[in-house]
Amino acid sequence: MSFTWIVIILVQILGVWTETDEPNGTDLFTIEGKVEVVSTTNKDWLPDTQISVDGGTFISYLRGDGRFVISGVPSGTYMVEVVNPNYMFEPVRVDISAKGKKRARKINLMELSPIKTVHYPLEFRERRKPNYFQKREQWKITDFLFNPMFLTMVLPLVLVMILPKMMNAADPEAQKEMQSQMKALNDRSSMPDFSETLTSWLGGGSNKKNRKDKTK
Amino acid sequence: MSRFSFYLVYFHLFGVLSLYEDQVGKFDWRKQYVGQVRKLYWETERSATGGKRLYVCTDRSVIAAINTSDGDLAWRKVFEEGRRGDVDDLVYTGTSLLSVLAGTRLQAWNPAAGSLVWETAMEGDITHVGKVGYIAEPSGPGIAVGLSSTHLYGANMRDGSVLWNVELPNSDVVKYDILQVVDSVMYVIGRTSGTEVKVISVDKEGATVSSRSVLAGFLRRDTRCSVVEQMYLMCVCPASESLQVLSLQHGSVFTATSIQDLGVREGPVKVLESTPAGTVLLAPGRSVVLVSVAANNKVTVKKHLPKALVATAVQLEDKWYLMYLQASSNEELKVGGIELETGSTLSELSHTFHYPRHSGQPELMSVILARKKDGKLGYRMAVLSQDFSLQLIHKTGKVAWRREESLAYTYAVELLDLPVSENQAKFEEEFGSHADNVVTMFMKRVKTQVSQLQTFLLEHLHRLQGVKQTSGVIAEEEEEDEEDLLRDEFSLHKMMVMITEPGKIIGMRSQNGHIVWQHLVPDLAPFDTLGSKRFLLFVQRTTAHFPHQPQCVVLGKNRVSGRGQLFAFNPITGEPVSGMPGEGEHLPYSVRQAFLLGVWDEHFMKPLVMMDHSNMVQVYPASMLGFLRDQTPHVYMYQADTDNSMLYGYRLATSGATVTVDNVWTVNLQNQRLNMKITNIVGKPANEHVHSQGRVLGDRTVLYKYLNPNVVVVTTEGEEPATQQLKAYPIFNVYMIDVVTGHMLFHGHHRKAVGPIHVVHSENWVVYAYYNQKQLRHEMAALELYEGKEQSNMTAFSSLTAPTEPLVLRQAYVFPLPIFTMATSITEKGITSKDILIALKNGGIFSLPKAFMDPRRPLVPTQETQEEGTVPYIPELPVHTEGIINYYQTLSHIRGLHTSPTGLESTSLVLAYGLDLFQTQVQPSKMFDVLKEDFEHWLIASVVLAMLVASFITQKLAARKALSRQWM
Repeated sequence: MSFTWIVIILVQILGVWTETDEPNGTDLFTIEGKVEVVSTTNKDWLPDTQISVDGGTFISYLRGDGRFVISGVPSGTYMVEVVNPNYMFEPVRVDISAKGKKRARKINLMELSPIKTVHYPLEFRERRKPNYFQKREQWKITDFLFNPMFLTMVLPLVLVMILPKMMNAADPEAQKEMQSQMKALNDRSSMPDFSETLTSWLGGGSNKKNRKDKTK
Repeated sequence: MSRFSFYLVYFHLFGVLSLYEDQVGKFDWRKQYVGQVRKLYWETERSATGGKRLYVCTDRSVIAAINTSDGDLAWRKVFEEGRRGDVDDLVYTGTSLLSVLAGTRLQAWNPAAGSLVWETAMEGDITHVGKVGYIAEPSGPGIAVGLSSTHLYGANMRDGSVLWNVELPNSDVVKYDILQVVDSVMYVIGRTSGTEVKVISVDKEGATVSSRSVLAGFLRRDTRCSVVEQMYLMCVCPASESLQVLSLQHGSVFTATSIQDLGVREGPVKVLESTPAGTVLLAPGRSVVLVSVAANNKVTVKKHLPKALVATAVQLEDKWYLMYLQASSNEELKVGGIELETGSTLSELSHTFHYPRHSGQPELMSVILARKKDGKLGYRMAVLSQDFSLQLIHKTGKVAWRREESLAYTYAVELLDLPVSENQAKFEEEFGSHADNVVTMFMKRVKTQVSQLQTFLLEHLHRLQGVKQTSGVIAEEEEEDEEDLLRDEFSLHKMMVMITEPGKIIGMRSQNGHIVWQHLVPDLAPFDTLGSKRFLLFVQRTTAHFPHQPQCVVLGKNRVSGRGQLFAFNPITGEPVSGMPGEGEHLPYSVRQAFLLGVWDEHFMKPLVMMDHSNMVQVYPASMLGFLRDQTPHVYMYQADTDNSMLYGYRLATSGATVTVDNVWTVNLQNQRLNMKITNIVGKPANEHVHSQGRVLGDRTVLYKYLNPNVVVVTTEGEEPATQQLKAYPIFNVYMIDVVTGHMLFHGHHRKAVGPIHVVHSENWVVYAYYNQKQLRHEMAALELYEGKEQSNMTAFSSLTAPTEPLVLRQAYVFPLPIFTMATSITEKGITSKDILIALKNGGIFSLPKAFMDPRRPLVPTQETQEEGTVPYIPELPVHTEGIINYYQTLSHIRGLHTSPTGLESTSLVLAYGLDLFQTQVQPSKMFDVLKEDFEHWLIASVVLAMLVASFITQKLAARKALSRQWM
């Protein structure tokens, strides 16, 4: 039973407000409100700001304190916007009934039914600064370094070049092992020739010297 | 959620069209105008900005402050279009500006910053022209006085609070339209046509002092009355050719003075202005008389200037001077000054200055005098002319600046390619001719190349000489204009031809908005069709046909007779074509329909075909009638009767020497019950190319477009009358009609939706915008026409053998913002995707990719639709600030958007016109045909160089290593 009551009440409310859609009578009303920009103390935005109702059917400018009054408005439903090229504001819908009752609500373009009322007299506060421009892509070294392509190239390089050396430095045994391996490789790859023997002889000579030094 | 992410992906796919911040002003420009000036005040010297401004109100709903030094706008306030925004009156008090709008809105403005101080509503009729005055109080803030149709209001000048109001008697029959404040007594003067004048005086406490009715049987509709010398009411009666004068304070009867007694020619007299020193009258035959009212209320002549065009009386240090303008010689005007008391001519005020012929007659002048340091008089003078221009002349007779305010009344625009240079044209000639043999062609080539070298050398020689001569100031000013009117590499710079309300035709460079030429055709007035003013501007021959000169023709109606007025001119130089008088051709018939024939004759000229009021066909130029006669069986035309919503289709037929029309079809779009009216008739752009004949679907089949060039979109608006259950509600219809056969391709019907409907029609699609009254939102609908999966005719489309009913796809979207108008981008070959350009009422121009208004957008995306590349359907169209192509340069009262292709396929030029002009370029598919301007040449060059160096070094290193390895 209570459900039907709610439905009836809803219908009545809707009925009241749909009545206001049609302007009837010659009574004229006002729409009042205030605009605030809190991000700056500079008042330069004031003269450039326009209050536009239904896209310019009614236009008003702000007074020094940010207030505005739009007079001569017949009853009906209106969209009130604040137009400023440097700040963005959320528009509001204002309903004025034939008797002059006013109500402000959020704009929902998809559905009309769930009504979210907002404060009247209207209060506008800037949402954000509009961004009209694209960011230009600038070449930065970090962009290059963190590029996945770059990373896929560099990582194997690191693995190939630096890792063995780090191992070398860390572990003298491993180093020796490596050297012997290298030697074996070298021996296998090329026949012992004059230069080879010369170097090994020279190397051997120095070793001998060292040994001599040590014995001293 | 998933849909939303889809949406974002697609959004990036179609590209966010937006500028980089450093591109501001690089290829766009904006020019702001105010309109035809109605009232003008010089700023007083002691004000905050030091007497450097002019305060004006105009008939384009504007109050503005103009810097006198350069003519730029210090600030501008734009009000509503239509009656509510009309500035009826403006008064400058020295510290504040008072205005009355639409007879009911009394406002005060801070003149320095241009901010609103207060606004007070007055009771009264909105159609009544309101008046404003003020009472200065030495101690208090002063009282602003506003006159509405029914009341006289007194408001505190500081905060706008209403101090008192007086209800005016019999305001339903008496029209109160004059307010005069004299020594804190206000006189309100009303009149009833043909009977009497009512004079009410009110003191500054708001008490009615006296109320008198004076018999005035001479009052007619065209009787102009004004207060002169602050204490007389003077009425000019064109019928009896007399001046009727009544004293405001105690007069009880009008005293007549015959115009002949003033010693001027008979005819209508106009009051230019009135000062305590006398009243300046403009007499017929362009002579100026300064008159004053004698004690017996008779008008006496104080000074007669038989040759003067306009004059004004100015006060300086308790002396009155009469300043006047008179024609001096060709394109020059002479300023003169007379001291009124002695009657002596002042030589220091007499100069001549350049006054171009295209400005027409000077209509009003306003002068401010000043005493120079050497004791001589100096002046600054503002002149308003017939072409709506406002110019300022300095003390030495030099024109400081001119504002071409006619551009705020642009009703037709065309963009033309600039001509190629003579050498280039000769080159192209070579490819055109086939008669020459090899030797002559070779000789020709050598000759052209020699001449090219010659001009190149000469150019450099001139440039060298030019460097030496840059001493003159004039050279500096005209430096820009010296640049030749030649086509640039990608034909991005064009000639913009604009036709404006006063009959002024202006040629402008599209890249910077500099005016190249101007021409005034005073009798040319716009047509008034479908609720808007328009001229018809056609390009009869483009610049592509050297050595033939390009030719444009503009068609309007004669300002006086209403018959056709035609003017043909060269769009590059602005000169009339040979045989065309400078003031245009007054046609002996009124034009009902006009169009440019699609084919040209052997001189590459397309004839302008007009149908006159007796359904006879006329041609311009008349010599091409024979050419038209050859074409007649294939030429169809249509005509709309907008009031009765009828469309008529005709075929041209020859009868004897003349060409007439045969009615082929008639379509009745009227519904008597609904009272439908045609509100839009939109064809396709004639210069449009469609690159792709169809679109490839997800399953790899092709859906062929229905590319009928003869389709026209017609909208009709009306109202469903109220019934017992329902209130009346508005409706509108959308039709697509083949205007050759009268065949209706599509009919759409919208209930509870109102216009103004904005239609864009291009290729195989239509987009229209309207307001949904039921859902209280703006909506847009898209229609696309397809032939189907088979194409009927591959080569050319013919309406006579048209395929069966086209497939019409449609979809509607919610658009969150109110709009002024719409257009679509156009490119040379039509390969680039299209953008819809939407002029928003908040001053932005928003570009939206057409892909968002594609009726094939699926509700549920599937593999196949992704393959096709359609965006999933979401009711609301995305509006984001990055898509606003004029960024923070907002525009007011945009009337039209004109798009034009350029030599670059990616780029389309856009011109928005209205109160302001704005020109820019759009690239709907981004710039794909030239390197981006931020292409990093240096980076790439340095990387390549570094690679080379690196490879060189590593080669060396490798060699060394190989060597050292050998030594191991």
